[in-house]
Amino acid sequence: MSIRNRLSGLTRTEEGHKRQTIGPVSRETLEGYLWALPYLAAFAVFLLWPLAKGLWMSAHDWNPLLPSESEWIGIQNYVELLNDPFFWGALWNTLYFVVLTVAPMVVLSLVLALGVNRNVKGKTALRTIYFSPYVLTIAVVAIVWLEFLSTDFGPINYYLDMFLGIRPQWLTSELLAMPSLAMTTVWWLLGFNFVILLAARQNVPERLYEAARLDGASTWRQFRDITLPQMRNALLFVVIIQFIYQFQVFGQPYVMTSGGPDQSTRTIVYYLYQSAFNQQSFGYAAAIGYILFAILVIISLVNYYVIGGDNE
Amino acid sequence: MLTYWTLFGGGDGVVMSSIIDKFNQERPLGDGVGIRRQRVPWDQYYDRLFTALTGDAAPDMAIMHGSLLRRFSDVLVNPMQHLDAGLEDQYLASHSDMVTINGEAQALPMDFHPAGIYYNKTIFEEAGLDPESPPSNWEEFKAAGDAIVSETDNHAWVPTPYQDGVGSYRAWSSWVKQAGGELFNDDYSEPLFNNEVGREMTQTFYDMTGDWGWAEQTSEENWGNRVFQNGNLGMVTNGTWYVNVMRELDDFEWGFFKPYVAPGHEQNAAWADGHTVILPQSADRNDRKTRLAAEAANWITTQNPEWGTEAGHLPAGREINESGALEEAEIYDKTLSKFLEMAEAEEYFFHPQWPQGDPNDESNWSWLVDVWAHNSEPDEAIQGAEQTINNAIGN
Repeated sequence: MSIRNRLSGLTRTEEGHKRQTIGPVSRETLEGYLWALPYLAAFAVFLLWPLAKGLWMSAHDWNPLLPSESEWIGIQNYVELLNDPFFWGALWNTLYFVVLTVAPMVVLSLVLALGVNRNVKGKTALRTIYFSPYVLTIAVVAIVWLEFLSTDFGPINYYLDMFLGIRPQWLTSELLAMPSLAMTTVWWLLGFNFVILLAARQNVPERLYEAARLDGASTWRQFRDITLPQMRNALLFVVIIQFIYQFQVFGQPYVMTSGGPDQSTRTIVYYLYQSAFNQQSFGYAAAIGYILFAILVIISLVNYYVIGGDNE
Repeated sequence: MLTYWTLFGGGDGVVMSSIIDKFNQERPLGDGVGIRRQRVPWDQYYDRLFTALTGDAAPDMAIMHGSLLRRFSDVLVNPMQHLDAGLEDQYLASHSDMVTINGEAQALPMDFHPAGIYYNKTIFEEAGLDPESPPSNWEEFKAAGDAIVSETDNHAWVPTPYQDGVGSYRAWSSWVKQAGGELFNDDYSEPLFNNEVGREMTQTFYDMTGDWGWAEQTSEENWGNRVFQNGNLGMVTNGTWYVNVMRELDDFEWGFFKPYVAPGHEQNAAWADGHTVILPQSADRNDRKTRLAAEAANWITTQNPEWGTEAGHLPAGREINESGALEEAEIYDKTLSKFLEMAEAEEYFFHPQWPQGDPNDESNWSWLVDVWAHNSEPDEAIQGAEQTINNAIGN
């Protein structure tokens, strides 16, 4: 490297490209940091700071109205939480909801995506129809389904009564309330997964299928050995996102069942909300948030390694 | 401008809106003093207010239920300290009691809203009952309920039209108190309702939708409201505000009676809560503005009889009560007169004023709905309720 080049801040890389340096850092690297700076600042302010504040709160008997009077209690909130039957009940309810929603939502959206990817008539309209519930807010979804699932006044029970002579208590019996919320949720959020998986399916090169067909591979074999592996990343994304999303379910039980009947639809985030806003126990609520965070990290890692396998 | 948050919708929302319009037109505190009203929906109101209070972004004035004053007392200004001496006499003693905690006013009282029983006169006639002589004790109430079920195709009674926990608590707690039972200790730090009377009343709720067949075993939201408005429910317990719903129902012959019909009745007692106007603490508000906010709140709570005559509540202002304005109201004979008698005779008790926790949170009282819907057994439910309440108030 010539003295002249060094003085002017120009270096020659192994590939022969010229790169400007300012001190020990290349100009390109510096520019990269500068471009990322606004996001990093927002990340620090809106994520790192709240995370740290939440952790700090969870170690206090936090007084939200007079924070200076909050009392340091260490891990007491976490100890109480682990001995709190309401928390375990909420955790169990949440797990049940996740089981009822994630698998059907992923499988159904995959089936729909593969179906609509074919050359069917009106597939554009079908795509719109499948996706459209996703644009509704939970308030609208809840109001619509509250009417549909009404025991005495809903259209579903009207026809069930007419043809089968039954009137299930969809939202008011412990047996059916959570499955009803799950059914509503699957209908509501299916469109998101559908769009992701449809895009992923459309990115699979057709030549792979042509080659498989030439080799005489059955439809099932094509699905197993081409479609699924090629869509693995999208599936991994959808599964992880849905686990994270469904573990945080709040709006549906809040609006549709108030956590009932007999607390059978009270979920972790609902309990967190109640602890914070109704019981004014913000430290306790923060501890619930951190437990939920830990659960989600573990589940995401498990999903990543189970579904992702050796996929880099 | 003074900022003012309210939660009123429906009939009383219209009345509150007209009161603020009147203030802004008449400018009773001078040309420069107006009120900017912001209505926040009821179901989001306290969450937003709470967030605003924690973020030091609260309005100059806000509506708050009396039951929440103790919980928020750390961040409330005593409005009396910013008003001329003697103005406290403008308020009825009963209402002043509601806003006084540890000897200090936390707000200015605006109204009382106790609960009573609304009934369908047409169903009473169908059942062979005298529609002008509603039940006045348990025997008559039980007989009326049984007659409605046996003589008509209608339901007899629900503790709340909304099938909600808080509404159920209004009816259930009134009966517990009427039968001599206790609900909480004096400072609301301990639930006492898991006693013989409490269990009996819970069992009565259970029996009503069980053996007696008085109503469906359902916790479906608004079930009672729908069947009552459809003309398929004989009686329903609810507060003063329900009068505005009833007034809008055409061709609906309805009446109202005091709720003193508990089994084992020993004393008259009705659940009550009330609206108040608070002045949240604010670092940004100077003393002059705080005084103006206190005077505006005083004007709202003492100079507007329509809060009683139109909105149906029992106004806190002594002058309103003594002016004869309430007697001239269209709803006076039907509801107001009876509510006034209940208040004047001090036949009420307050909704719990917990130092921590929200007494209006549904999950605290949903066990009553579950008993009503036969989702849980009475004894098991009341034991669970005790644990729930202890948890809610931080015990």
